[in-house]
Amino acid sequence: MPKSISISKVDGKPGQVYYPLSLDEVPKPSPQGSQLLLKIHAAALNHRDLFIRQHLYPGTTFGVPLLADGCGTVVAVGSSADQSWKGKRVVVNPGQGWKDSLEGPEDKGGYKILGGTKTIPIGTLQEFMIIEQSEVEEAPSHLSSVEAAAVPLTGLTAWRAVMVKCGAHNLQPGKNILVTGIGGGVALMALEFARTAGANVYVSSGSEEKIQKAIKLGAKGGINYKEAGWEKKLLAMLPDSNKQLDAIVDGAGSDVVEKGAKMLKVSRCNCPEVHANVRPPEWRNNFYLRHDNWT
Amino acid sequence: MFDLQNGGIISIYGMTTGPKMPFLMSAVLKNIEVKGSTMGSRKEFKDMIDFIKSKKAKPEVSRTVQGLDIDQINSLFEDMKNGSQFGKLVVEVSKEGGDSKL
Repeated sequence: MPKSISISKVDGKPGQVYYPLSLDEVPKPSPQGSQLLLKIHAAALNHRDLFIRQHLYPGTTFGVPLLADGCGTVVAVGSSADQSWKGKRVVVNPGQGWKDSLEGPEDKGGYKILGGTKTIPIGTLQEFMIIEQSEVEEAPSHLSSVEAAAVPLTGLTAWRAVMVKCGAHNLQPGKNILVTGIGGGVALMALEFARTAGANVYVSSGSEEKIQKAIKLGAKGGINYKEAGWEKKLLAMLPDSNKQLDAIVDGAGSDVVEKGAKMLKVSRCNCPEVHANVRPPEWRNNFYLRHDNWT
Repeated sequence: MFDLQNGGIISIYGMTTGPKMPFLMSAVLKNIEVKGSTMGSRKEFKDMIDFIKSKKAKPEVSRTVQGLDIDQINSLFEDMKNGSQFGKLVVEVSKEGGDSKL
């Protein structure tokens, strides 16, 4: 019988428990209708999978194959599926319920990510997987199956954070992008997308080793955020033609707005009446508008 | 009449340090836009894969283990817990071109 890995139940509170992995034997799957049967070559972990084992993730359940990322070859197709899928190597869309809206998922039930939850009981950590033909793309031929499996969830997250949210005008040659926390899957894909789009990419990390690895991957430079005054050090690294950041891609939160306000480009606003209208009376002396009062 | 250049963008896909963060007046005055960002749509998934194909972009793989081996897979979870990885942690379930019979 084909094998699959899920988590099994042990006692413990969310956040304290660590559910063990369970190697399950599952019924022989058969594709119906427009479904495809994939023989999985590779499946990749994401942080959510660790949260699932700690019962810190919504919908955590037992017996559902883990993991959202997968690459496999189509070995059988349902009767109404496109027969040309057969034999093709594909990557699986890691979530469902979101077709094409720029704003967010259309599905009233919300976006459902594959792997280990009851909201959508399919996952990639198994030998064979059934999936709708509309949920796969042919795997990039220049990538191994291990590399292709490494793409979907973090790639999609980085795609939206960089290519959709930062905007094409901030990704052109000469533009400066800072990707924080390099080493994480999303941050590394963000570096790759922004770099290949043409922008200068700078990175931050608490680890000098990770910064050096990122520079080998094409980052223009990097700074250790554990060092005091790293913002100034970063600004000094930027090319003379553009001494400010155009965008920051961040997964940490914390003081990113405060730091960003010191490093991001200044907008030119020739509209003093806008400021005058929103300024409360006690601001008349411009106290709050003086830079030295903000820091 | 107004010459309003777009301010810098802060694109935030997570808050690993805590679920809140401050927004500052200095950021208001620089027209900084903070944008929340999640995973993406089916269309964005295709756009992303097409971009990878056309630019020959590559993901970074930190470590790979072979087979549905619980001890090996547990060791990948340990890498993640320790934050020691640089890139993705991948389970190679079956080699390409292997036996595809059920």
